Amino acid sequence: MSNTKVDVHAYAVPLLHAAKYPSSAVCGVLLGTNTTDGLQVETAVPFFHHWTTLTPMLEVALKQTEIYAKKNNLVIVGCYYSNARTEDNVLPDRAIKLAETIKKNNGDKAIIFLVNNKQFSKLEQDESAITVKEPFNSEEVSLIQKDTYSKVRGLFSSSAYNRVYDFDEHVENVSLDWLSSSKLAL
Amino acid sequence: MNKFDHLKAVEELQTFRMTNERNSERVTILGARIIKDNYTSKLGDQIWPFYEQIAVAALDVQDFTLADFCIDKLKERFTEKSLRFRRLLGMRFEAQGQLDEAQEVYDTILQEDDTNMVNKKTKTKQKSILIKYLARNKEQDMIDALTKYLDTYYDDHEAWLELCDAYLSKHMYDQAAYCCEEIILLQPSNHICYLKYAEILYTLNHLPLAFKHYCKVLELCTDNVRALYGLQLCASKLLTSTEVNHVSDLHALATERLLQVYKKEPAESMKQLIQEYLSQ
Repeated sequence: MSNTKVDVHAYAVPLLHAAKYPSSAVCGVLLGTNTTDGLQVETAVPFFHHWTTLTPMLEVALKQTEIYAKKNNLVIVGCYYSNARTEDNVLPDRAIKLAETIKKNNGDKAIIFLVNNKQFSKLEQDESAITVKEPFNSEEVSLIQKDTYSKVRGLFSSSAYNRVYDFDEHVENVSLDWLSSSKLAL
Repeated sequence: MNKFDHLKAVEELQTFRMTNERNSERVTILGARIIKDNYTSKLGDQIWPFYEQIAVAALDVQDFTLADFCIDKLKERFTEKSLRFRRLLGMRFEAQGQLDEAQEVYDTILQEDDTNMVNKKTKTKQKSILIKYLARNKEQDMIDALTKYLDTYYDDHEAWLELCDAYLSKHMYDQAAYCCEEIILLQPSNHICYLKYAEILYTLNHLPLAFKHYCKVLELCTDNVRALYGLQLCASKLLTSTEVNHVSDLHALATERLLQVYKKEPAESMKQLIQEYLSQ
């Protein structure tokens, strides 16, 4: 049975993105590699924090991320979403739609991360603030680094979310390198 | 160690008040420091909008100690007779998730406010609707309530915006487009309205219309990057169409303007990526 492994970046970047915009829904894609053992989710690229249901910029961001991923020997393996309201843990339809598109280009494999907002406000506990929604295949998901949770706690104490930029911010100020958010120094 | 510049902090807070930017973390940090260092004595009359601003920001970041400090100061000066002060109490309930109590506060404010403060009244009415439904996840009810509200107060562009976003979250793009049209009527020189409209039209696959509206955005706001991307995207899909004129010209123009915008940026990797993207 294949295993899905998640690097600390793939866990941290979506949460930092969500934290930067606490009153909004946010979304982005996950980059990784398809190995013989299963999916390896390396990192995430933050896309939007407003107008998340509109498509033109999604197409632009996806195309640019594809180019970027290729340059870094990665592929788009999934997407992540965070709802605006704390109690809202319904996976939005557009997340499933996006994942379907990603699946087509990734040999029928895609993973969806949904931020668990309730757990997100309790980071002091060693429990995942991300729910892995895989309507496509049921696989085992594990974090690669043992100290992922404590690393993320450290990132939050240092307000690292101010170093994460998304595509929406990039189009307001093109000098912000949104794609490099995926290479965030931890 | 950097010396904290109080004057600069005060100016920054003033700017936030003017632009209405929601940067609560920064505001609380600056406000708390100003209060701690007793710089408040130098603010004169500005101290009251200051306390209001810090209170709201503190509620946003759940710093109830700071919020209560500011609210108490405002209470001493304005008492509960002030409707504007009472709105703060409503917000405090909201911040604690006590929606019923917040609802009550807003409703009593609405009942008592029979003065000519129309602006404040509509804002409170709006808030009342949003608490009733948005915060409690009753989006359809909120849509109905806002629609009814907008029948009377049809020039409340913020309410149109809320309604638009409510429709968007339910993927009701046609209705959202209609809201945008109303907002455009109210704010005909606001390029963001046209931008949102263009993006909704694109999502609805009305490419020629989206194309036209992206052009309008660029008319109002030169080199708006989002609009340039949108225009380039629309144009690339309309190249074979006979419906719209000047597609290939505008496609070339958008591409050229994007390259120009990115030329000014130092990051070589980004420039290369954009070139690759634009040549596809």
